Amino acid sequence: MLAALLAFTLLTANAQPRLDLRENTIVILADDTIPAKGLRATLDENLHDVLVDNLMDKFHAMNAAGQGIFQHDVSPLIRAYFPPGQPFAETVRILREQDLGTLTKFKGMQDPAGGTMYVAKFNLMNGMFSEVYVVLNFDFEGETEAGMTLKKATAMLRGGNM
Amino acid sequence: METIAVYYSPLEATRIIAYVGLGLAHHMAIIYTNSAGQSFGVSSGPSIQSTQQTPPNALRALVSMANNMPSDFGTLVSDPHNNTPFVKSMMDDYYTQDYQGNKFPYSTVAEGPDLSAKWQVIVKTYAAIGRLHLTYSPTSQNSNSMAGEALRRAGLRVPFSITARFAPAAFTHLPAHKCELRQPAMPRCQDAD
Repeated sequence: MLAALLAFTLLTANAQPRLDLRENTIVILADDTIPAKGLRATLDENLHDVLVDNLMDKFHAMNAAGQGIFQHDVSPLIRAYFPPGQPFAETVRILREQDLGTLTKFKGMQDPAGGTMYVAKFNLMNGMFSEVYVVLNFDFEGETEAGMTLKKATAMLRGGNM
Repeated sequence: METIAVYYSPLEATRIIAYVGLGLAHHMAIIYTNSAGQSFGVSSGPSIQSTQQTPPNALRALVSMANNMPSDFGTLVSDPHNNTPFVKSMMDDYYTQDYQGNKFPYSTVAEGPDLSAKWQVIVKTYAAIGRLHLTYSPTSQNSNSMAGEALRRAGLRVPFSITARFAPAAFTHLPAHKCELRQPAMPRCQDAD
């Protein structure tokens, strides 16, 4: 074990936790020449920051309480992004543009009362010894992805460690 | 037939260990499945997960462990969901599969008509160790140590075979009661704490 630790030290001397947060400053000028598409992208960027800030607040509150992070329901924080009735393509677009992971079909057991389950994941912290991430669960109804609409979206904050 | 199995969730964050020949590090969770097909799990981890993940912090945790003080990673805490029934492979099952539903590797450590007594020992050991607020040290006293200790106290083997995965500190012995903490050399005891 000590050998492994020494190997860590040698190979990752400057390792720091990687926070998947886009560090940017939003400046919206009172300038009606901003192209509509650019303004929308800027506002979307702000939505991403609000979501991640809220999740990080939850993460830090749990650390302050010393309760550890295993699996915690944070669905209320993401509901505004993924309302019922949202078309499949719109969910894909939001995930891509907000950098919230890639939508894939869930390979485990489907919920008997649900439609077709999809998942996405994005990291809040990815360190050397542990990781903290958010799993987004989507329940879609419809026969094909082109015609699917969202029934329900939930989110779980999960931690992984040795 | 009932089973008790150890599931190994790989930590992508520890991919660096794979480069030095030890394989990806894994987190151990213990799962009991009763004759009705219902599953129960136990897990544990650090109380603080926002600590800078650096080798110096890991080394400092070793020193904290020697003094039984909380490290930068806090203390070793039990998952508050321990022993809550769940159905394997459903979306909220985080013990036996990754977020996409891909099964984790596992090793069955017991199989028999009634393993409920052994499971109760495991559950109680997780709760007892969690109450001691032991130092969390990522490389030497961690969730795998708690899993190993619980298995041994239940009279089960800690997997160490071709089916097991690299799980740092799985063979670290932990106290489960204050009397063991006071006198580590004495045989196992069960005080009223």
